[in-house]
Amino acid sequence: MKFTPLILALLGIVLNSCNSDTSLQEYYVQNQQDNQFLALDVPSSLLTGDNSSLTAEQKAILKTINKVNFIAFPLKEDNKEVFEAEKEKITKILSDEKYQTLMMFGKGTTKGKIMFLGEDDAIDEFIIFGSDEEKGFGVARVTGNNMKPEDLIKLFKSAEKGDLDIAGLQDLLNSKQ
Amino acid sequence: MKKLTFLLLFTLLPLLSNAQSFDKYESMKEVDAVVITSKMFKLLTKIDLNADDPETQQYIDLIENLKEMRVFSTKSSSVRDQMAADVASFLKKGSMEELMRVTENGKTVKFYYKPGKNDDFVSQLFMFMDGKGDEPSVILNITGDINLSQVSKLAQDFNIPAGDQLENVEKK
Repeated sequence: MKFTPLILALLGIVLNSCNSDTSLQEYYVQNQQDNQFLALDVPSSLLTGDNSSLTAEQKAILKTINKVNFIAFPLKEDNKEVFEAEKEKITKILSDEKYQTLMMFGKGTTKGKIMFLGEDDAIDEFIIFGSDEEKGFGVARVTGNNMKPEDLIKLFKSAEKGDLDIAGLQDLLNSKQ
Repeated sequence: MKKLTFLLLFTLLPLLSNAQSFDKYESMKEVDAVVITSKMFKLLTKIDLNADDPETQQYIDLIENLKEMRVFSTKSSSVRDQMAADVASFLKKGSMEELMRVTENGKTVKFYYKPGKNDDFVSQLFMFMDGKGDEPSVILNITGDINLSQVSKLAQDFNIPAGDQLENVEKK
């Protein structure tokens, strides 16, 4: 009987991999090499690099994160049709019931949606989707294990204030420019 | 069997149309929209609030029991008209009772509710502000277990268009 949890876990993995719907991860992998997309993948080892001056609390929160990735489709003059098609694809992926909506907002041609995957107090994926009819769309994902949503929000807030000093991330952003 | 299906359809249909009658405004570019779900409200209580004094505790109780808040506002005259028509037909269904109305500076704000577990609580609070010119027209719909004496505090925390109107809400 000791093995029951193990069997259940294995079963879960098998069932998961049988899932035929395109997941966000698949969408990311399919398109990250495409020139029309802008993709960024940040493993958590970069986030918790030695040269970052983080508080112990921030470090602990970052440890629950596996990686952060971001994919965007910048709208240009000649790719309007592809933009519409891709936007439809991603909207379809995100309309899956497993993504639970925290909130959505819209102002003029800009729309945004914040979602998560997992349990209320132990989330596996945190997703921010934004689109603009003139600029394009983008999806940011924070994946991890049993992340506490309130901790993540705290982290975002400190990032907003500029308190979050992640050296690795800065380097990465600079190299992209 | 067919009969049953039809019966089901007819009992479900009003429910569905009731819930979705304002959904179309979410995707209109003339409309500023905000939808906040119960999950978000629960999260908020964990982040910003300390339950040290009883007043905050009451506020937390309010937020924790909210199911959903939807706000749609517009300044486009064609969408205004559409909103007014949709609100009128929504209210005609008779599921909501009038709470109060305020008229000031030519704009009318109407509040409607669905009764809740007792006199202090409502299960749905609906506000429609029929604005003109620079004033937006606003639809605000809150569902959940809503304590009317606390609801005005929502306006302070969330940047709701016409949220100041909530200050007017008193016990029915």
